[in-house]
Amino acid sequence: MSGLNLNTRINLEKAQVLVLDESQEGMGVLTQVLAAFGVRNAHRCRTMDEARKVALSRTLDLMLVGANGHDSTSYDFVRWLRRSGLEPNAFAPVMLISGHTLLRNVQQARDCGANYVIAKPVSPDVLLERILFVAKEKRPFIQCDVYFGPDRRVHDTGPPPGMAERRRPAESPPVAAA
Amino acid sequence: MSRVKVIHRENRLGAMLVQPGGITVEHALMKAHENLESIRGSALKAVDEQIARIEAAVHEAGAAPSPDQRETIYRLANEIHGVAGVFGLGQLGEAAFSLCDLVDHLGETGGWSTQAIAVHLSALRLFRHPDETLDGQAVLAGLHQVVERDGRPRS
Repeated sequence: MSGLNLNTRINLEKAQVLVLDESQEGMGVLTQVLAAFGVRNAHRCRTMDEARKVALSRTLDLMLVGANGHDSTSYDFVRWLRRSGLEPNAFAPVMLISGHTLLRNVQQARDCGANYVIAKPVSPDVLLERILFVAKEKRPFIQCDVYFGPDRRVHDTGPPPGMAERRRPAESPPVAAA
Repeated sequence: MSRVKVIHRENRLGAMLVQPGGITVEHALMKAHENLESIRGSALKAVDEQIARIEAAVHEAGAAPSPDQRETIYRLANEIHGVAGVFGLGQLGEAAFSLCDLVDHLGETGGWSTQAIAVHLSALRLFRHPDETLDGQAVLAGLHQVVERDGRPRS
């Protein structure tokens, strides 16, 4: 349980959590674990249409999206969500819960705009650790032609030693891509 | 060059998490393991059904499966992989993952290998009810060799 302080208190009672998973067993595992974490409002969705309806009708604080690997439904949903213009849902934290991914879907999984990918089988410890991690996140979102999601440049190590920063601060959008 | 927009938004989840009340991490994890135990029976029953359905699909497919049959086998194996490890059957999950790898690779080339599939099915059965004498790591290593023999590196 690296990174987890057992004495930390967490309050997810009022969190509205969307769970999208076409697998009945997968859905069962996730909702049982979320209930144990104190989540009282887990919105279970078996299809992308159901998930869209929920996202359009209520404010969501977290989304767990199961990726079945053989089609692009999960990635399509996340891409749709990010580009939906829904405030604040378009920017809600999204965890992709992924099993095996077909070779042809790997890039979609990587680029759909999820905050993190958690590999199945999901353990409660890992899921909680990730939820706590994403709750502290301060990454801005990047929107461009081919991507809309959290900034993936998570390791800002600054300029090389002995050199000063040469870039001007980004005072306002848009920022031209390199 | 495409236009890039940087958008900042408040992290609502973070603010909510630290509200007064709630439960400790220790309690949350303990309860999670209890809750999972309560669904162990039904989850493993589903795994048994999925293994049986894979066997039926493989038998029906013969030497030349249709795309739908490949997808069925892949999907069922992926479901097993997603659940088995949650209930202490990690090696079953890994064998199912290897089957997904195999079916994926064979799908890319359009080929099929009844032998390679059969070996994986035997492994699923073995790992579903392992006994003390089973050298699980050796079996998994063998499965990976089978997948590699089809020309794809182990994922």
